[in-house]
Amino acid sequence: MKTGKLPKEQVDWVAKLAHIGLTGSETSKYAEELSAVLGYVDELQKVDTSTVDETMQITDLKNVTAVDAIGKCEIVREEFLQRAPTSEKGYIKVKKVFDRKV
Amino acid sequence: MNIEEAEKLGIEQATKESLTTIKVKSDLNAILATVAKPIISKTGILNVPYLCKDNIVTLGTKTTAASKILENFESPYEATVVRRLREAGAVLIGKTNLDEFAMGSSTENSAYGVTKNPVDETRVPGGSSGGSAAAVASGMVPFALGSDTGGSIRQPASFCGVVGLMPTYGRVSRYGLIAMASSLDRIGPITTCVKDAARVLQIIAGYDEHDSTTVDIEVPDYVSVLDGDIKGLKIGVPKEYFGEGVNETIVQVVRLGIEMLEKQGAVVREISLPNSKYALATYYIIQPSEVSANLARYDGIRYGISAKDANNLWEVYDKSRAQGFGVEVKRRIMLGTYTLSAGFRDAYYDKAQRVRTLIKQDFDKAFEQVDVIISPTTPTVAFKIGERVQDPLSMYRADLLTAPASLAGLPAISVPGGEVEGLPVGLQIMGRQFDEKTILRVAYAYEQVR
Repeated sequence: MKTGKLPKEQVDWVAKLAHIGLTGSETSKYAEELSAVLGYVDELQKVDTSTVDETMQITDLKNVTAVDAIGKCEIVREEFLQRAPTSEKGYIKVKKVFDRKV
Repeated sequence: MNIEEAEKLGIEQATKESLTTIKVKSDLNAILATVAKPIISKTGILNVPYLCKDNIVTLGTKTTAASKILENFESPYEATVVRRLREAGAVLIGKTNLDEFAMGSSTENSAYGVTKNPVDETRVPGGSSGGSAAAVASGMVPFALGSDTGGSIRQPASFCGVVGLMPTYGRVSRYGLIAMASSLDRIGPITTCVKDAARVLQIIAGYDEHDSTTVDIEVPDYVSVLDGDIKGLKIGVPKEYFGEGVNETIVQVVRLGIEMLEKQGAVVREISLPNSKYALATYYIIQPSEVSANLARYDGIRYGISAKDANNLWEVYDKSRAQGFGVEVKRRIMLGTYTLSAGFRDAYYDKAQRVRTLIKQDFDKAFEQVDVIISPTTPTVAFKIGERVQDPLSMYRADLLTAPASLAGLPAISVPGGEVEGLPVGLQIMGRQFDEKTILRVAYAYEQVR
């Protein structure tokens, strides 16, 4: 797949994946800017990495696990709900997920 | 004001003076919030006032990460570093400005206005911890907390002429640091002198059960090693950090600093870190990729601003994020979404993670021969406000010399090294993983002879 450039149609696709609503002029602006950055980072394609693995984390910690038990939560339910834009009867309230087609 | 001076004043007087200075210097726009009633403690080993970067959660203030999306957010809990400082007697008096979610190198990306550099108010203080660096440089507090992902403590410290320490990844708990790029983010102190950096690190360092990436190893005494003795210590000078893209006068200032250390008995060796030239490109793939995942949590549902004009759930997401995030944050989320997307992930993200390995291996090899590595902190001095903000790529280049230690997980400190045309130059000292002791020792020795 071709790297190093991001055409306008693909900016729209990426914005959709990222859930960021863009206006038409924003799309053009980001296409230009993101293409410039991708053009720059494309220099990595010439580096020979065939002999090394990926660095996922840097401290070599392995299999860090927590005790499998229910701990005390320092934050109570009301404190979470207070921060939600809308809540009802102890639950966070959201807009409808599906549009009913009549 | 350094820590010792603040201690001499006593906590009540020091806090009062800090709050006055904050008011007098409000035109710097370094502070986003002050604590209405600071909790004054009179005991403890670090009984001084301090400021905290606004991407670290605290109680009794808002925590905005300089983003509109969190403009009214109050955290229900406090970060481990803040708790540890409180228990040590330090008094939180406010929160400092930053680039939104710590994305930027100039503090111009804040939703609450740019911070000015106290050395020259027409220039940026650096970023993303620009508020913390400007606050310490202008004498508001003896120390401030910052966070560093690709240079965000060291670069503003360099631009403002103060000390900035990025500890080893895993040394200081990230619990309560608003996540940006989780494999790189670190918390560290910005101070006026090396000893103060050692004293703050002493308190915030160490294993934390709330952060599974902290490493459970001994925290040595950082202050007692500051004796100025560096006889026989081996300094590596990486030729790649003194060449293309780096201001020639900065190079001269830093080389002069290295000569001073040589006169104190250190042994200087030229070394090569050939893959460091790929650090910036590597960083600007890995960092946005992790950003795109971490910032998915801002959905307008659980906290933060929520679009009022949305008709269904999907519109809530799209519109809340469109309204709440600034230009740079959107740019990086989209960049990261793209570099992680099906079909491109191997070419970008996996590739960058492999190059990250090569960068790390260079350092491992170098540290078989030398104890520390010294370079300039930044390729230029503080630039003018507005100069780079229209060109993301030129802004990203500010991280040229700081990104390698970030990717390699190493500790690094920036200490004031002199001036170029009246503007501060930072000298960067990088060390082995978990060897903050040695970089602090060298930084202190340098501070004594400079």
